[in-house]
Amino acid sequence: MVELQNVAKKYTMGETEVRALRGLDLNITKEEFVAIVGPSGSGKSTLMHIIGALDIPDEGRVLLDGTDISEYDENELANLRGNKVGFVFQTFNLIHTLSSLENVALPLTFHGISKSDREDRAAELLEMVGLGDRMDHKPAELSGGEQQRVSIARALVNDPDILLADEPTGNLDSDTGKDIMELIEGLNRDKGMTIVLVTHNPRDAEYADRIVNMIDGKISNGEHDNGGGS
Amino acid sequence: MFFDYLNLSWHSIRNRSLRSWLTILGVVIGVTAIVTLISIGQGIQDSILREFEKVGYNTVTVLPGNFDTQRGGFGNSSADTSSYLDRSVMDEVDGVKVSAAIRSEDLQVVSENLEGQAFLRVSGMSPSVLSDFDDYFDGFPISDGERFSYDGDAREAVLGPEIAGELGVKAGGTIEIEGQEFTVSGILGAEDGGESGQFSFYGDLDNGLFVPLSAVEALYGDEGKASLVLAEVYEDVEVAEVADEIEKAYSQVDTASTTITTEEISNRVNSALGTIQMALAGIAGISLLVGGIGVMNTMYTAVLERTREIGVMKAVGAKNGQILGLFLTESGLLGLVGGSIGTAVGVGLSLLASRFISQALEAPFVPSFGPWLLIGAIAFSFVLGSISGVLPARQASKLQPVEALRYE
Ligand SMILES: Nc1ncnc2c1ncn2[C@@H]1O[C@H](COP(=O)(O)OP(=O)(O)OP(=O)(O)O)[C@@H](O)[C@H]1O
Ligand SMILES: [Mg+2]
Repeated sequence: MVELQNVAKKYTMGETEVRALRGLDLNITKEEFVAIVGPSGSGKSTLMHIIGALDIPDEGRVLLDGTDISEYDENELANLRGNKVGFVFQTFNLIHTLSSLENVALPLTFHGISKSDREDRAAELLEMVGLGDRMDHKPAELSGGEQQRVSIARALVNDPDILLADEPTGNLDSDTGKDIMELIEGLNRDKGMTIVLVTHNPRDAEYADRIVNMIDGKISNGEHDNGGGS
Repeated sequence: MFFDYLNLSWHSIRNRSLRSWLTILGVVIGVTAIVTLISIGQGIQDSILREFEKVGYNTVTVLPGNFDTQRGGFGNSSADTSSYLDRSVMDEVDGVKVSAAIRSEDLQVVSENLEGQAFLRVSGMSPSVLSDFDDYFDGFPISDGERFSYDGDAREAVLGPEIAGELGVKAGGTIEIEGQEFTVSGILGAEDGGESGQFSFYGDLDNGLFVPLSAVEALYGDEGKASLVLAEVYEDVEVAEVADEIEKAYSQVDTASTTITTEEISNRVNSALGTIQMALAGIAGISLLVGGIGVMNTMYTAVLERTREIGVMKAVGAKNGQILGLFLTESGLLGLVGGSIGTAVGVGLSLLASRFISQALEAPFVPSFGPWLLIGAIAFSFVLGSISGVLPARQASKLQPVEALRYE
């Protein structure tokens, strides 16, 4: 469902040029759970952004369901993000002025869905992630684990084809992190959600069907089948 | 969608409450100034126009010679009193419905209670002045006694309250004009005992001394001379055209005349007041401009502060146009809140000021709040806020999502 062909991305900061991705090929099939691991600065987040239509590559092709999106304009990319992709970030990235319910409902706002429909859908997802009783709480009134659950609910609210989680447990203690990983794994197992997970934690990577190793903007030979599940 | 924007904007405005209120205050001051100045200016204009309307737009005032209309009341004019108009010329002008004559002369006046003698302006009025043109004298209200009876050659006088006081006479008393005894039939003044209207077309009624025209003519032994002629034209004719006809008719009998129409004066007053109002509104507009710059500044700060939030919204599918709309709504809302408060404060302030203005003018005064002023001020503030937000909102909408998400 996602196919990257010879993708390259560089950043220029003044004089220096950073080659974040250097000709990378990757194939992710439907309902697959892929973990991406690798040292800091190896380009994992950059890769996630490109898979999630948040950024476009300088070179190469990105095929989403067979369509090349590397030439899409900003509005087309926004549409794609709004309809097909759900993002979960290490730092949760919730909007601190909005309640849990409003945070989860936010993506639907940009789809022009009515307030009552949005709130029904958001409430449903908050129930699903176990926060039925925290709907009116602001992010500051929630624990880290709870905030990450809200952000997972938000990522799922538009019923995406693929969930992209960039170090979702990075800011959580190991027990809470485990809960979050089990929630994510459950989405893949029970709902067949396609998942790409970036992690530094080998234990988290264990949940994935396949582990992709990144070094210096490329996928190293260490890519291997994980044999599925924990 | 717009209401969702409003809701989101409202959240973030409340979140930065002190800064938002300070920004709003900037708009409030500008809008308050504009609403106050315009409503008071409009109130003054309205009350003057109401006086014109009382007199009616179909009245033409005719003066002998070339008269400087800038001076105010015609009765007190320093127009050349040695030249006169013949009222009967009016009978030959088409379009004139009724006409009336006033003859003003400076005459020696004596009263029992006044030591010595005085030369006062005495105005003789033809009967039609009071029957058809009393609005010209603010209704010619009598507080004590009654109007002239115009009964035969009766020598009667109506006095303004001030001059009556100086002469020491009341209704029913007598004064002497050029050696002839006149009965004081009435004293001018509002029926409720208050002062007579301050603003009459004739001028200051408080110091007026009025007698029947025939009495003045009897003193001089001649007839048909008027120092001011009033004409009411038919409803269906052009007042200005009739005024021209009148001037022509007088020039045919070798008399120089000047006609003044109500419309002409009201136009002149309107344009003079309009200019003053524009100047004041311009000054108030500058403070509104400063308020707009305040909104712009706040919105630039908001875009910086919320860069990450913008990144998140883009990551969940917000299009550039939607981010633009969101920030425009927010800045428009700052303007709208400021405009609404400013309008309310402006209304309050001009109501307060109107008390002092009433006192200063010694006449009742109400500021005018047309719905267009209130709605216009509020709508304009919203537009001003939105316009001030255009540049910051464009900056927000153009942010690259990845960059915005990395922003610390
Ligand atoms: N916007 C940017 N401007 C400049 N350099 C960038 C930018 N984004 C990423 N980079 C650089 O590209 C390289 C890859 O960054 P990326 O964030 O993808 O790494 P990562 O594997 O996610 O690292 P980490 O594990 O620390 O999150 C890094 O060297 C980073 O400094
Ligand atoms: Mg990263």
